[in-house]
Amino acid sequence: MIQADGLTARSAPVALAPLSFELGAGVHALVGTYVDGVPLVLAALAGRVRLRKGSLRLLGKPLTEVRASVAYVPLDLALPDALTVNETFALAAEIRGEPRAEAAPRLAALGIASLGPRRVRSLTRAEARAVAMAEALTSSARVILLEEPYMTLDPRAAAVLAVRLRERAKDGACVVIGTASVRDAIDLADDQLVFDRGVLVRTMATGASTATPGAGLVRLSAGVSDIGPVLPELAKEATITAIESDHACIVVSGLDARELAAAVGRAVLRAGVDLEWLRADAPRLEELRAGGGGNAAAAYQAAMQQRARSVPPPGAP
Amino acid sequence: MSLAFLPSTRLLRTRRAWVPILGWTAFAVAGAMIARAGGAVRGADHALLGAYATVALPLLVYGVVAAALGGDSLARSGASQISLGASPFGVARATVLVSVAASATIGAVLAVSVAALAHGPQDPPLAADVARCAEIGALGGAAYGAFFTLGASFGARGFGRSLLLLVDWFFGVGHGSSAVLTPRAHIRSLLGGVAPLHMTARSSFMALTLLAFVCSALAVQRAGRAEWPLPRR
Repeated sequence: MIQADGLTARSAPVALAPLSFELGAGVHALVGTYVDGVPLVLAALAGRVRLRKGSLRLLGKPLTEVRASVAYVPLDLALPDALTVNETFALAAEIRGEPRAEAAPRLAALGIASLGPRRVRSLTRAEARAVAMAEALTSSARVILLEEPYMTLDPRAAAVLAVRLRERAKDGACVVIGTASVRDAIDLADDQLVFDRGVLVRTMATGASTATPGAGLVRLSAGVSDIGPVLPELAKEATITAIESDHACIVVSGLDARELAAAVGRAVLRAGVDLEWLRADAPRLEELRAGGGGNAAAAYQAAMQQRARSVPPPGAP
Repeated sequence: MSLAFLPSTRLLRTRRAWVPILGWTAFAVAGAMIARAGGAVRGADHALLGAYATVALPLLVYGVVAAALGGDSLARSGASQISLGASPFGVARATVLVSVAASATIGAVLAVSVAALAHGPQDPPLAADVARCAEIGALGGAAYGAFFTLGASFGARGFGRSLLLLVDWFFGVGHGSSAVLTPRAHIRSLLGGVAPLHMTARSSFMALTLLAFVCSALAVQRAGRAEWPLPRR
């Protein structure tokens, strides 16, 4: 869906080194800060800044031919200032050539249906970003570019954003998020393109094993409803090399993040207690850039997956 | 057509539009009333060349263009629509069209009002004078609208608009070659004042028309190709 070949762009003080990548349907994360050029890559994909060199094709065509199929929500977004939110959705539908539809159900997708009659000028920054994301995610756009999706976002929208991104990706859209948060990048995206000062230094896939054997211990923290019965069950797990606990949580260490997370899941089941949370620290951006952080990334991913299996989502009976 | 909705709504709904429109209209009407009260035999000429053409029209159109662009540069004023998938050229065309059309309409209505209110015994017959004033007001408004919209395509927040207001102010008052490129000199010429380089009224009419078209086209080209730089963080 997105084909960049030797793409370079510049917006002082940031410049991109020639960049080539292909992104298909799914959720993709461009990981890096402003000086790494991540917002600039998104701006170049959206046509906000000119390409200095290289070529860019979206949906197999130049951007100018498919602009209506691209939704872009930058951090410094601007909504049509004199309109209401409902009018903004109607305008967007006309621009994209969509049939005019009620804005309320589209806003409800991100839990902000009540904002429909409000003037855009009266929205807080967090509300305005939620409105822009609702428009982008419920439109017919097939390329959706979101900069720092969780930053300054209305909490109602933040609660369901990940689900909506997944739905759009499942529908065949190419969702690209730009973020400096490794945690967000792993939580939301199928793969991560890591940038360092304008250079694409690494591509990682969420779910693929990135752990480096022998690279050291990984640690997972778990919160359970009753620590007492779990400790003996954890001790039976061979993959766990160390167990620490206090009255609030248990910290287990081991060599393989996935095995460790699975062992915690098994022990909790056998003990018949509830797993309230399970987490690992996400790797730091510097670790990823340096080509490390594999164990930490794997631990984080494993904890997230185990938690998804063991902990019911908020609001579930 | 849908792209014209935002700049039109800015003109109809925002205080940024109504304050200069009401303010400079009141100023021009007051000038006409004073001319009438003073018993000027060519009251319409006096009021049109004075308060209307010298002060009210340029500043009113300046305010209208600023309001249509939301107080921003021409390129950035359409950023919200471009984010929604619109073409930058389409957005720029619609914005320029709305700015120029609104300026022409307001310029014509105000010229007619001033001519009718200040009409004196030695002015041309009222009906003919009003029709001629509507034509000149519309053309003058359109030329100023295009002129300031082109100005708004320069500078981060459309600062060029203010620069062109000053250029018009300082160079337009003369009669030499530097005045030829300003709307002020040609509007003055059409309203019975001294023409730049002693041009005929027809030449001034053509010059204003040309100014409106060329400035509009340049503004669309500049805004359509403009980058929308990232804010520094």
